[in-house]
Amino acid sequence: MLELTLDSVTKKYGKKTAVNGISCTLTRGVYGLLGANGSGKTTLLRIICGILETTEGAVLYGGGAIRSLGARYRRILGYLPQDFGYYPEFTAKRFLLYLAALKAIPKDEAGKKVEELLGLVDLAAYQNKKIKTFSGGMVRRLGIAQALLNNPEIMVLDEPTAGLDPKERIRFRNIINSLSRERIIILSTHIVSDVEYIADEILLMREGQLLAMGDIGHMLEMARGKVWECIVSPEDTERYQAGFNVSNLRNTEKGVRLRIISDDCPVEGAQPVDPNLEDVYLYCVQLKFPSNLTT
Amino acid sequence: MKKNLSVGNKDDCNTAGFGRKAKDFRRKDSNTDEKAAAERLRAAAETLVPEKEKRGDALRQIRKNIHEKTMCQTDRTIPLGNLFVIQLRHISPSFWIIQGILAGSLALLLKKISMDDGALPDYLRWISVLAAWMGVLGCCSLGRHFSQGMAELEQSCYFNLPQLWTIKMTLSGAADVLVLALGSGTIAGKTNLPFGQVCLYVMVPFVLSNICCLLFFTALRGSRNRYGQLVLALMTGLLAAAVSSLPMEAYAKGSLWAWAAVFSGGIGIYLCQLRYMYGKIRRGEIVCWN
Repeated sequence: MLELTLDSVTKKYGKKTAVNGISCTLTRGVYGLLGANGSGKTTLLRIICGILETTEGAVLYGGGAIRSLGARYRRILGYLPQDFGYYPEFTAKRFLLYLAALKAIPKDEAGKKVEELLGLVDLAAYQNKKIKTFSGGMVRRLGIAQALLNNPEIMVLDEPTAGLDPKERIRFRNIINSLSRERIIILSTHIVSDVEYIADEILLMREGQLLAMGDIGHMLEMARGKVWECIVSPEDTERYQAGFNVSNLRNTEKGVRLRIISDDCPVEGAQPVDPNLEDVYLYCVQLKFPSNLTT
Repeated sequence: MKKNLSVGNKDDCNTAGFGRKAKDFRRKDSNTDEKAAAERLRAAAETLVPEKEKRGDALRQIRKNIHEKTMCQTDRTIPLGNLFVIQLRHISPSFWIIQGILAGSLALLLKKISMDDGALPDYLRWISVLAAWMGVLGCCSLGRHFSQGMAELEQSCYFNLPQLWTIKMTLSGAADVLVLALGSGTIAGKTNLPFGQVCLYVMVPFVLSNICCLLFFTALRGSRNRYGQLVLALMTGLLAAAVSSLPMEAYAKGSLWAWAAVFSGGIGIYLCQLRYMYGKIRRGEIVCWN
């Protein structure tokens, strides 16, 4: 069975702990990794890819440590790094063929796969153009294509939608959705709506720890009854923002409509509303580490 | 007469091409126990004639699925030998151009010194400096993985960064050694010294400059950019020139053991440096610096 297990994974850089004892098991599906900058998402993804060594704990694939599996594990891995580099003088096609060779894909299969993927990410028309002439979004799409080259069982995508315009993001979400049945896809992003649309499960990280893990329904349930809306005068807005965790603010004819995350009713007349994933995120990151949040 | 049947459930490959009859049969049996149903289904299937075209489609679909699965889990890989060819194709053209310029310059300089009736140190000075620069060029080619931000991605591939480094070092090292051996052969011919002895004099500055490159490369991140590489080239060039400016006594036959000792020691240090670098790459220490 396709199963990736993180067993007390810890990574320390000197005295700083970037990832702190994360344990979880991932099976088929899309996992969205959410967390603020510096929360340890990228470090965790690099550990999952076997690029970084853990200080303690291990990542197991099918019961075997990925360190011992070595090339056998890398063979079924597709990775899109956050800082996706490229050789600027390469054309898109040559770049993909180069990576196909590094992924040990035989030449006859590589050619077909490259054509197919360039079409999938809408770069077929630019396949013979040098990458240095590409826009940020095009480079990102090329990055997504290379991650799919070996038809990986495990896909790790670090900020895959960064730099993509809304249309490209929708296209990307559709690609991921169509791929998710057969593999484990782990993606980190700051764009909560991306995760909301495509992730089967969400992993929330803060300060290197796994704060919460569960499906969207479960996550939303966590913040149910903690999200309020009220209308306040423009003069009071600043005071509320300072005193409460305000997730949204909108000017209306009656005043300023605030969306507040709070355990208790923040102000008389505030109405509880259905939470969304952004509310959950804001609710979780302000919490102290509770032990009962993961499922 | 047997009826030509249409496809029942397109997603179910086992029923593709058998059609309504099988489907109806299954519906009828939905409440009976599985074993009996399977038995009856098998018996009914024997009476069915699959529709040729639909069966062809289904088989094609199955073959496609198997092919896709093979791409994922196949044991078929490109042979390591092919990877050398691929790396050779993907090494930046500027690398080969500069390498060619250095080799060409070496040939011209050797010719000029020969025409001027130069002595051994005259030959060695230039060949040592050029050998050092060839080493820098090789190191720069290794550094490209980092300077272009490809190291992290390449480290996650089946053939990972240490393997790529090994291939690149073998390729560029072989090219360097070939050029230097040809140069040494020329010098040996002109100075009437044994070829092995001249090789030793040429290879010592080459090995020392390579040690400097790796040291510089490991210690300073800035060494991976263009300016860092220029500083490196200058530094190793000076080192090589210094080594080749030793007094004539140093080239006496009696001092050969010292050259051999420095050469062996240098190779040892270089291998230790590589081991250290590979360890760092494996742990992700220099791959993930950001």
